[in-house]
Amino acid sequence: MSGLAKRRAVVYNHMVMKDVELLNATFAALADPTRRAILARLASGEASVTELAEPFDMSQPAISKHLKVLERAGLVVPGQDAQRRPRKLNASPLSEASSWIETYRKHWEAAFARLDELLEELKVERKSDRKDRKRKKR
Amino acid sequence: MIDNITVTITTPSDREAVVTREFNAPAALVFDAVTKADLIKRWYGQPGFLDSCESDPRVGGSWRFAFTAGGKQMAKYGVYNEFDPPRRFVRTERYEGWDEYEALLTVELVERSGKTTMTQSFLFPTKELRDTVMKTGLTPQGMSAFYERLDVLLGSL
Repeated sequence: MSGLAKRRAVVYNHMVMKDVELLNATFAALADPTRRAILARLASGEASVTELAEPFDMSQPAISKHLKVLERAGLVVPGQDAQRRPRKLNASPLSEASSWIETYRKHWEAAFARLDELLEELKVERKSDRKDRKRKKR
Repeated sequence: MIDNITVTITTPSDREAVVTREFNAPAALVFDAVTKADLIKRWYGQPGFLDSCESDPRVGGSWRFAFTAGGKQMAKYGVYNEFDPPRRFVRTERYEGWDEYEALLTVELVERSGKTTMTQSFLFPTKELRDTVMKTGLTPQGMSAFYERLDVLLGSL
């Protein structure tokens, strides 16, 4: 394997695994209703752990646990204020998660476009095959 | 140009991906195009993508598509478990060079007034693998497109 090919293989595996891990983390994060509610709250602006704990009737450590899961998935990032340590929403993993079926669809659309062309060619080929056979019979 | 032809993707369960598409050709033609080696070569991947293509379309017959992706020789292979032309076939799918991959593919064709709807149902052993395949388009074609993009990226670094 050439140096470039090796480098590509390593980068490829790394990128795919990173993608997949991140995506799995995103889905796992979204599976929990409390975490979805936290994201909904952060969608209207950054908030501290104390502020986030208020509406949920949950302890701050319990909320912190949920925040950790959301941070691992890249859905929540630290806000500006170092004193208050607010959290804010990062929506980009969400758009990636919603586009996963789109990736698969594009792959098949390209393959099927080529299959369409082949089928048109086959229709013509088989029509002329039939004509040849008829001519031979005569 | 053929209008109104769309690929429909559904996920009826955690471990399945179902791809449906209509073709403007009779079922017998579509069936041949997806099972006969000399025809598969003509549409599967960009021209010249497959290094070799073997298919022995009958129950117990094997199939193998070899290709090069990122300087790495790989192959997709398996066995036909069911074969009922021009309506249905079932085959196993594995990769040489990607041991975790495993799928059971069921293909069904329904012809109506000269047009054929093809439904491909992929059943994977785990949800994780299903998600990986769908997310990355981890298929020979998807990988080769990925490498082309990566070449451009590495070339610009």
